[in-house]
Amino acid sequence: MNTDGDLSVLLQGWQPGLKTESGFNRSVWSRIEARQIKKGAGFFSLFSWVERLAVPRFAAATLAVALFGGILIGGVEARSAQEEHYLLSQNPYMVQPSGR
Amino acid sequence: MKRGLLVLLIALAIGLGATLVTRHLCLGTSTSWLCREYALSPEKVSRVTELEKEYGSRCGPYCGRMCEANARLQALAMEGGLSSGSVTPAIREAVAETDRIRTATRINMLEHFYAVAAELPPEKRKAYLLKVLPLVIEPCGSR
Repeated sequence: MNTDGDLSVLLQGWQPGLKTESGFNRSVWSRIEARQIKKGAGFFSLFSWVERLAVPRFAAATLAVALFGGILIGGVEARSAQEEHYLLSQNPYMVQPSGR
Repeated sequence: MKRGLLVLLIALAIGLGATLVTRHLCLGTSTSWLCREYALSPEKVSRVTELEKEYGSRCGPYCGRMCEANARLQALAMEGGLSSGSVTPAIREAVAETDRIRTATRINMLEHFYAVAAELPPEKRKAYLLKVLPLVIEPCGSR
């Protein structure tokens, strides 16, 4: 009597006969994802976007934005500093003979 | 994560560097700001530069006079005022002297501002005066 062999054959030929609903797989995966997101919703997950900066195109875009943003801010800063500098130079108690 | 953080740090450094370099490159003389802001022609620029130099040499001495008058007033207020317990005639005179210097300075400033405004395009003169007048007319609280 080879019980183990029979059982194996029986299991291999066994069909559950259950029909899954359409979208079953999708719903299972979405539940898994939702659980993973919930698991990672700590303090560090706030900075998860930093990981994306490792992607070359995001990195290049970030550096370009930083460069142009810096130039823009510097220009605006210089303009307001010059105005302030001019007004200071018009104050007689701060006037220097060079006029600068 | 580490690589992303590195990119972020480099981006911050680049942004800061760009800001500082641009600010440094764009900063010129105070007159150059005036000339650019009010779109002056080259000949007007040299005229305004001349006016600024003349103003500097004319108004500079007021600073010295004002410092002297202030120092005198402070000394009188501390010594004479404390011992007599009232405003002495000498203190009154010292206060009046600082006011005289201030008034002369303000008139000088106004004359200079009108001279500069005359070199600006007519439609921009008012805007210029609105910018510089607070230097002459001291603000009085909320009014």
